[in-house]
Amino acid sequence: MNNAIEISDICFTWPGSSRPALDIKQFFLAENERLFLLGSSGSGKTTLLNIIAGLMLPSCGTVNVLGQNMAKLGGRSRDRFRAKNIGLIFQQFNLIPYLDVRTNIELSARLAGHYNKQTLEQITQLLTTLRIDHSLLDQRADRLSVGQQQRVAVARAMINEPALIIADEPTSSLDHGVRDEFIELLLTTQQRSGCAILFVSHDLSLQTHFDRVVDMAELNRVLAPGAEHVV
Amino acid sequence: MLFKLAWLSLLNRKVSVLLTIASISLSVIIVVGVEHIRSQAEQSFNRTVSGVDLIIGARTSQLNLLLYSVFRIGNPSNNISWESYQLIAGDDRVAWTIPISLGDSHRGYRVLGTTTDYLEHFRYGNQRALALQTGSVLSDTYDAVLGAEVARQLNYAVGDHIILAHGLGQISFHNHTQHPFTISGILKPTGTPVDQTIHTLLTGMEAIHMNRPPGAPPVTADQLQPTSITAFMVGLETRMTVFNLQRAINDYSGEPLLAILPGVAMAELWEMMSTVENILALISALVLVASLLGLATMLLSSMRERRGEIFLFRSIGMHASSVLLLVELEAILITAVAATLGIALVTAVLLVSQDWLSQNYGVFVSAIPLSAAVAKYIAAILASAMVLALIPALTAYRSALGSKIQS
Repeated sequence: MNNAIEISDICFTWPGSSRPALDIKQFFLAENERLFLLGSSGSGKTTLLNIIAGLMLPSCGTVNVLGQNMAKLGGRSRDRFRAKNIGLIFQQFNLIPYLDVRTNIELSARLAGHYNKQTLEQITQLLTTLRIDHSLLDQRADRLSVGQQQRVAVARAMINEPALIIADEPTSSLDHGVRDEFIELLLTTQQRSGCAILFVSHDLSLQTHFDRVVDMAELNRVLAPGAEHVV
Repeated sequence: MLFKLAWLSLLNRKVSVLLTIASISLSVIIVVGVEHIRSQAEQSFNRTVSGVDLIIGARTSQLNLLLYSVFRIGNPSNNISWESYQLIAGDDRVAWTIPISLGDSHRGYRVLGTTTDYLEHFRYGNQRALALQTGSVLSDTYDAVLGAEVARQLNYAVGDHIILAHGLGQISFHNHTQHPFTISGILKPTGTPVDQTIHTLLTGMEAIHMNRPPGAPPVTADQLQPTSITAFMVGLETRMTVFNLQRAINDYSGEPLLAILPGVAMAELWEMMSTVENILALISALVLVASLLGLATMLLSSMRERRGEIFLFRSIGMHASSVLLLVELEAILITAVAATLGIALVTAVLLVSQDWLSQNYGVFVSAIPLSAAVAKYIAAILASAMVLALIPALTAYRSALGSKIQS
């Protein structure tokens, strides 16, 4: 089987900049693996996530996501690929504020072409797993608490049963109390669907939940001590 | 799905969206209203006279003859002799004539001396005959039949007496006080200059101008035979002969005469008003463009706060072109709602004021402003909205293409 992510020798330089922001020799995420990527701002992790999600292409090197070479896909196909195969969860603004919970999740299913009669049932199942009260289905997203929003975001990311979840600091806006509960729910859902998860955070205390930890500072050779160019 | 998104997104920005709808509705009201009034005015203008084949008067310009004989505007240059009138009226090709004698007035309203043929043969609108609201037709020398507007404005009823004045001003120093006229009848509103006219018999006009000293013996019918009239309208046995007769009259050697085809002269007159028409059209177009620019501005300024939303659409796999479409759809929705609202308002106002307009002003408007021209305008409005919405839509598109996870 393919790895969920396979990266070799990629670099990325922002237009107008003379120094690369990203230089990674090797990186992979195995199928079904839970990986904790430690990275603070300026470490190049945002650039890396954009490249993996297909929102940007590297300046050099190859990125395979679920066996697909991202550079070989056109813009529209990459959007389609992302809709079907990658679930993204962010620190905040995970939901369209003026849509209700159900429409927010449905929209993801529709964009992936997965929308059908069973979608509502799948949504309610996900809500149960994520311990979200079903009465919230018809609530506007901006009426939910931050904790509820983050859990609905997981449901939104999971609805198409993607093979890869990318969670970018999803707990940063949560209180300590609900942080562990959120991670537990996230990982339960992940385990149930059998997808790989790339969890990005600067909070080392969370690493115990994961199979493997990778430090951006070691991964990105631009940041390595002794590197001729320092960001 | 995009439609639902566009709709909910607009609902989410109710206030600015409603303001934009109000502004576009208003300009739709102006565009549709102006077009409706223009076409109604043209129709009403063209209904002023119908069924008349030729109008004949002293030689002047075609427009001048039309203006004073039909619209009671301006002054006749000269009179034509009773003999010439009799000669033409007796021609085999002529079916009927309506003699017209102008020159007197009553409190600003013009007096038109004619014969009973006027009520019988004059047609306006779609071949409609004049009809009396109350009273009876002209029969006595000193009878007067009022147009609906004259009676309404001056509050006259059948049986009232009126004094005619020489000349056309509101105040005249020469009133025909010795010869009051009796109102015998009042006409129904027609929406034409007939409403503003006081009709008398030619003999009555003749009688008041004789200036006989008080106590003189009563005049005989023979003495009341007019010697000249201002103009006359002609109906032909068959329209085929109209050009023949027109040429014959224009070449008449007895005195300089002019015969015009009312339809041709009316078209020429309306043509002169096309400048006004064009200015009105230009103003309403500018108002419309201004409100559509407002729409584009509203959508564009919302893009800043929607950047997060656009990124989210992209991250769950929406392509940038769908984002462009979404913004376009929002513009179309707003414009369509505003256009519907505008047309509904114009229709409502017309429905309410229709009776009032026809009763009080003799202006007949149809209540439904939906004509082919209006449909064309609405299509043009939607098309311009779509073009102008490209400004925010392309901004959204570029923003979507460049959307990235931010650190």
